[in-house]
Amino acid sequence: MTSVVIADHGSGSTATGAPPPRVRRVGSTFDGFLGLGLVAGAAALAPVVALAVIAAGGDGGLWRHLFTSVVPRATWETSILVLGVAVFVMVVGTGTAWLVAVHDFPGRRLLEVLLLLPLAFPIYVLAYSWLDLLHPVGAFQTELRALLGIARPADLRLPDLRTLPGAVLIFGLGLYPYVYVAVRTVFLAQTAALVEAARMLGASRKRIFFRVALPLARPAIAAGTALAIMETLNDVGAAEFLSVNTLTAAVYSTWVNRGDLSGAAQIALAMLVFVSTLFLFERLGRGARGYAVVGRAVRPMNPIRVEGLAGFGLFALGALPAVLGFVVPALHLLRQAQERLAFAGFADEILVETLNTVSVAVAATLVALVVGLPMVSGRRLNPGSRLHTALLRISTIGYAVPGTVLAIGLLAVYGGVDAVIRAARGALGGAPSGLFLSASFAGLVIALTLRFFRLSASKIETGLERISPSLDQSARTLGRSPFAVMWEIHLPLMTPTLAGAALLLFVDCMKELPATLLLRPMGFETLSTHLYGEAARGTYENGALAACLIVAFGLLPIILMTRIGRRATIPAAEGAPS
Amino acid sequence: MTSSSVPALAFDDVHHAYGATRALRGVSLSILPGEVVALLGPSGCGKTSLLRIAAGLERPLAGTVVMNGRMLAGPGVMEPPERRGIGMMFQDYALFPHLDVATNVGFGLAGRARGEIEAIVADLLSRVGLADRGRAYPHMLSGGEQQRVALARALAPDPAILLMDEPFSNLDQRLRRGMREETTALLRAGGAAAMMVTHDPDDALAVADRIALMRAGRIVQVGTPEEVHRAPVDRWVAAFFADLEEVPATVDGGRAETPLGSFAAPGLADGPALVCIRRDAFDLDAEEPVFAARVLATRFLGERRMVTLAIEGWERPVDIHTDPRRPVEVGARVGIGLDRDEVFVFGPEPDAAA
Repeated sequence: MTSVVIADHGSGSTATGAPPPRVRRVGSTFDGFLGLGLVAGAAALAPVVALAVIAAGGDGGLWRHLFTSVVPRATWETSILVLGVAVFVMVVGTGTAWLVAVHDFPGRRLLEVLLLLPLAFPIYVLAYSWLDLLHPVGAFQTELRALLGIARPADLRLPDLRTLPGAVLIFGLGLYPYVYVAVRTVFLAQTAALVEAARMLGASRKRIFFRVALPLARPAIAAGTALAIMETLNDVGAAEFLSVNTLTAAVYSTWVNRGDLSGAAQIALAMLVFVSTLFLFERLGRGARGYAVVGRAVRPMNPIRVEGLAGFGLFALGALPAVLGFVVPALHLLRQAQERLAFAGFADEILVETLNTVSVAVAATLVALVVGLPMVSGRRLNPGSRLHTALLRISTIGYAVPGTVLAIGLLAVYGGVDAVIRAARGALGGAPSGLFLSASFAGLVIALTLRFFRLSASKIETGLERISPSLDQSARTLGRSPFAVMWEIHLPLMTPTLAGAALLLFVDCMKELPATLLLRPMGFETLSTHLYGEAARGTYENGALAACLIVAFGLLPIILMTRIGRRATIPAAEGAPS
Repeated sequence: MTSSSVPALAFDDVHHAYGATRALRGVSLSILPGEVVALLGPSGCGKTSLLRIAAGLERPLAGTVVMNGRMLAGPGVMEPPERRGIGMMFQDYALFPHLDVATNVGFGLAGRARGEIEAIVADLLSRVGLADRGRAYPHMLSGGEQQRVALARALAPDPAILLMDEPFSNLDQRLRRGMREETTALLRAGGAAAMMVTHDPDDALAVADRIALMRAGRIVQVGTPEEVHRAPVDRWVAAFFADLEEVPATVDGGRAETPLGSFAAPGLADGPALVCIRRDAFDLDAEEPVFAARVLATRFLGERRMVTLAIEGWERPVDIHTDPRRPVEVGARVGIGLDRDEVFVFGPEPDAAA
């Protein structure tokens, strides 16, 4: 055995204390992961860039009109709606979370699940259902008049739901669960010890709520509220049904009713500014309060037992938003659907629409996962590569862009791509005509993928974090390329994660309305566009059936969520900008 | 130069940093074929960075890594880990949880004939004593079994060099001793060179042919276990292997004068110095005692006995180890011998804190 010392101890060529050269790590070279990232990043940025380009090309006079009459009013109504919804979801979401997390009363378990159910309702379906129910010749008013002995609808004047306060109520009922879930998680898992400590110090329940629980839950409240606001801004159907002129509705009608793409793009840009400002405030507000409650011992709080009439009172109070946000509209839809089925049978169009909906949603889900896994894996397999990280961030911006805004941008992009293809075909001697991405199935799938890519990426990221990086490195030293690591290690270990992500993506794509409405092929109806069409026309023929199907699909992830148990998080919360 | 003297792995002036943190400040080290070298040092000394650079998991900022004459990393060269043909055993073993033991061991053999893979896997599993666990999944194995599977998996492609990252740190003391022996035997049988990272001197002494001591991104000493143990280059190296009693001294004419006596200090300039005495140097049963001392306390520790002494002329109490069966009375006056081989004299250190 040799013991020759070949080493040259520590005689570096770099002087001690000199600033180290820039760090380069393994694999910041170009690879397939990067190529895919560049394509995805470009696709995500294209609609935003296109918006700016076509907005700049708009007619100056129209611009002035839009920004003196349409935009100020829409901004005002949007602001009021957003503010109202924010207050509603904060109060109702936090209140119900406190109710079920800290108290124990008969039916609490049932209530915990009931309170989640409005998530199954897209807002436009909830609005549709309530409007149908409360219509002057609808079920509720007819029964009420019969009860009061009033013959003519005109003699019984109820407050109209189609007002801003009505819209706040409907949006709030549909969106409070975002806050409820986020806050309940905090109350259940993270504050038990602190609340108990406060009780030992003799604090009353009220004092504990305001001095301990509420401040701790503030980041969760902010996160949940941000999601609710995003959904509010994204909505296109409900605001229209409820006669509220939101910015989204203005974008939509400027394009659909006036055919003015650059005008729509201008409002859409204004809206992007609005959304960015909101996010900025939300981030600033959260950033200042850097509570690190996460990671404490997860021990459920010892609930306060409330029996008898008081217990029932708590149950009734907690159940109110769930009853109004789910039970009543769901029962109404079921009854309407049942009547429709009894009267006309199952219409073929519903079958076709269901198939359309499912095929679009499945396609977009697959694309989002098939692009998402290599992008997230690629970033992980290139540690320290800023480019991979930046591309992943860029490609997920679609989540923060309201569907209508995204769709207007994509309309322009698709139009441009089609023009290029037509020109190329013309140059090659073919007919310089036809649509390729505009109003195509592929174009719709791309739009939905861009819209929900963040959900896919964040779910995959969460899943990958559970796989030790040494598994990657080990496979590399055993001869596997980065791609093979993804294929042989990440993919098999991620199967449950990917299945869960697929379900959430599928349901989100299926419920999506604004982008689908604007980008679908001619005559291509999905369940959501069908419902929108009937509600917009004021006809309700098969609408209830379509609505029932949408809600039924929407219940799937909630069932999954409750099966995961008390530590459940809401699907959208993990896709939320953080 | 014969082929056997071409290093299996050679680092030349390797530098590395994480952001502003310098991890390696010019490391040069060669590992000969069939040799087992331990990188020994405290956490954060850069030993793991060097290992990861060898594996291709990190790209060095400067310097070269050459394996059997083939450049792996250097100016404009960066072989990815999958093309290096280096085996690596991870601290957490990194067994693929979705693959059974046999598939894990055969993972690095992809592309070979099925029969060949099965034969290699069966041979390795029997050599690590897991012949009947091939169909088990990693989570069904004990810690020691997982360690063996990881070793078998890293050795399966017959790498020219095997890297081991704290291979024994997840095992309890008893298992650890056995695994050191098994691992050494397996490495010797296969003839692969190996580089092991550890913070435990016992691991290094038990397994390595040579030990490279690392501190603050530099190798401070390389040598056989005996060399680094017997002739540490500085106080820090000496202290890494055993607790020291440090006595300030003044060198005068090649002798270090201390309150505990005079020690040979060949080659040291006149001036302040430090005499470091390993605890083992003190001998309660010496035939020629050099100090008088009083027993302050004694504690039975099973395999040995710890005795706290007040040595005349020295203000601090000194803990020494002795035979547990030797009776020692508190308060007794004893004579202490000194093994001069365990005494080191070091000159003033410019960067003693590093």
